[in-house]
Amino acid sequence: MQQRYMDVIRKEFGPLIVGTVPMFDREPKGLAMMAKVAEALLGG
Amino acid sequence: MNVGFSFKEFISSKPGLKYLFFGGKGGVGKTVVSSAAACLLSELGFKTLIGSTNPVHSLSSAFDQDFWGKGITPIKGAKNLYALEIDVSKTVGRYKDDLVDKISMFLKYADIPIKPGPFVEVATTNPAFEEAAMFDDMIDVMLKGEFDVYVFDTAPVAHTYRLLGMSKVYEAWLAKMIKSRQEALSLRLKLSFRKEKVAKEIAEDPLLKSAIEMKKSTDMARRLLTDPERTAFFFVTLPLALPIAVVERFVTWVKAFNIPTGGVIVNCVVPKEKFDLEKASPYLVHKIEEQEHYLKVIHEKFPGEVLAHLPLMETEVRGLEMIAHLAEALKHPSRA
Repeated sequence: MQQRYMDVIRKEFGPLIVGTVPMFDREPKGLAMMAKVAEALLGG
Repeated sequence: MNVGFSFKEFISSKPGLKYLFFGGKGGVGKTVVSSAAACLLSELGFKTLIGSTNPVHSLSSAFDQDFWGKGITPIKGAKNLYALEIDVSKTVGRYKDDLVDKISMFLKYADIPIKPGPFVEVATTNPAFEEAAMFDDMIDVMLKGEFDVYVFDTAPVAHTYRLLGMSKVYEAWLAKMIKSRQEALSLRLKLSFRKEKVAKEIAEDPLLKSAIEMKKSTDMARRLLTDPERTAFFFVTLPLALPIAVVERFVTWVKAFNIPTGGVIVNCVVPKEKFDLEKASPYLVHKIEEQEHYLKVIHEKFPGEVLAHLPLMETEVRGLEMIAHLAEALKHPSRA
């Protein structure tokens, strides 16, 4: 299901996509987890 | 842990319940949960309206049917179930016209020869204006009484807070308006030579009349919203820290407005019994452990008030069939 919607997003927003953030194995909470989210954002 | 009522049992315990509101942090599934609740109520035989007061409506997407701009619309495939995505644009337009009239009248009385345009712009270029219109439209729908039960999918917390706060603000503001208008009119009467004519004019004062009229409907709305037999506010959360924290704050606000609370519904609970956790990936095991921790937290924070754990479905909840499926889960008490 997710893959299907990822395809939809790529098709609809293609060049506008500036990052993909994974769902982590814990809720992003606190500085350490925020740093992980930031890394994912920068790493694209 | 305390296992309380199921959502369905809560409904059965309140035979007079007519107005149900669903709120919570953005993204927790308010639309889907309120739709499921409306679906359940319609199945129980109540003529039910699911209305959205969120300026960014999602009912059409949830049911995969187009409700926007159509007023109250029967939901295809369902019995007793209708949808409404409130469109405030007409009400906002009417407010503007009304304000032009009132401000012009006021300026005329005060002998101030200026056009009301800029005043109206200042008064209406204001985010609270749309909320006031949303509140009025919602109350209108409630008062028309065409349905047995009304379920409202509200906007994220901050909007709803202001929406609910409207009635209190209105009340204070109107009381002041009415008082100052009465004072002004009584002075006018004292100062006038033709007392009889002025007294007659005062009795028909349009500003005072409309303020009193507005106060009447606001009082009525407040009575409905604060009546525990007729109204209940439900909180939707996910088994995660951020949405739980929002619900905690939200409960305090709702209570401060004397709006009766119904309970908490936890959405997107992964059915752990479907996995062999011995063999599952560490990622999944960790996610489920985290969920179990937060479910415990929710039951500790809201003992006896958790009305349902709704499962995270295999696919996105879309369309009446899936919503009806979710409604089934509202019949069972939450597993503690």
